[in-house]
Amino acid sequence: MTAGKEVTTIEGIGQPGNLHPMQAAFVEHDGYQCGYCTSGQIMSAVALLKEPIGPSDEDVQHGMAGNICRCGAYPNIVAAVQQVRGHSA
Amino acid sequence: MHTFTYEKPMSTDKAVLANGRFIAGGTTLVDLMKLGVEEPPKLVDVTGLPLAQIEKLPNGGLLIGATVRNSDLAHDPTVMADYAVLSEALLSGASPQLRNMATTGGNLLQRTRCPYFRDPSAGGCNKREPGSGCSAIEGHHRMMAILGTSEKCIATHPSDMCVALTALEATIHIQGVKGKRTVAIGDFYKLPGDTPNIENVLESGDLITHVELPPPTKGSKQVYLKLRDRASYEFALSSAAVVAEVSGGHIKSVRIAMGGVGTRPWRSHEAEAALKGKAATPANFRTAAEAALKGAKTHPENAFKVELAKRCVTRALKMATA
Repeated sequence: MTAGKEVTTIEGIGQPGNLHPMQAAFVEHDGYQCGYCTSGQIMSAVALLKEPIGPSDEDVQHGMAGNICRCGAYPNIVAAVQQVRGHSA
Repeated sequence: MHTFTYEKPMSTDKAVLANGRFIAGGTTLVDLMKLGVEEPPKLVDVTGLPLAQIEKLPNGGLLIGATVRNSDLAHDPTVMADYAVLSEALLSGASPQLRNMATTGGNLLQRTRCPYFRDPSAGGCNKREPGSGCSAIEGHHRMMAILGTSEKCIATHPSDMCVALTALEATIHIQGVKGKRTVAIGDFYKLPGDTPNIENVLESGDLITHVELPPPTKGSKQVYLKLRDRASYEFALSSAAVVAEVSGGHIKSVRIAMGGVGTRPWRSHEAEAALKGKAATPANFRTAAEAALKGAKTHPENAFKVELAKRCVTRALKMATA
């Protein structure tokens, strides 16, 4: 069903030495531990920047819902997303 | 997973004649195929059809294409302004990633989350395999329905969107091998009865092309209230969609539908009748909620839903008339 369509993966938004602002923010805020969910978290967070959601931390939580982090890095993930959105967490 | 063929027609005529299982976002069907619950030999991809538009109708209503994504529908300016209950219901369901994939037509046809339906190794399920029994009745049924159930099935209809569409009195446009027709959403879903495997009036080859909303009720206030175990990414234990018109402190008109408690999206004409012309007071709201749940049939684990649903309806009415 995706034949002929363009798919952007985590490798497509930034590279070592040239990180996407969201990747840099995840590093700065320690938005992961084991890293298993990180690619999905960051791709969702990048997409969220273009979605019509409110400014609050709760809005980010709902916007990121469905991305499960079993290490429990959620507060740091929200902080990273909010920094890139220009809202202080 | 069984093998299947795939085709992508570009016209509704060809899609209907393809005589296969339609797939759009795949958020229900692909899961069920992986679980071995559904084994369609032929998938017909409807995402190439010209059904992804939302159009205003000359009569003031709205025509929503079947492949409009749930996220696009929820954020459509007309839907947000005139059909807020639909936008709220959509945004309360699933997750952003799922809403980006799921479509209007697919949401209408999403299937129950009953664990016995979704797991062929978990025992009998009359919806999955007619005649094999209902494991939920004697098993785990905390999430199951309390309205519209039968001896054969107590599975809950999972959709939030359809509850809002029920309160909005949507009409479903269908194209089939014999031509086009429309069905009111109140007539679209069937009660489980003796045949819980038959969930709606669609016949082989029938394609949902659009959902039509009537012109918005001027001066009405709309609310979708959803109660669940988690604040997001969870199905309803009980929900209520209310479209109410209040004049001089009295209920001029009201439409009430419930989710999470019925075997189909549950319109309560009883609650509406109890409120018509009455003062908009908490006591009257409670009386209406009592009427809505009068026919409830519970099992040990889901008996709490009766009181929860009453409070849900009462509170939604309070919010819609404040």
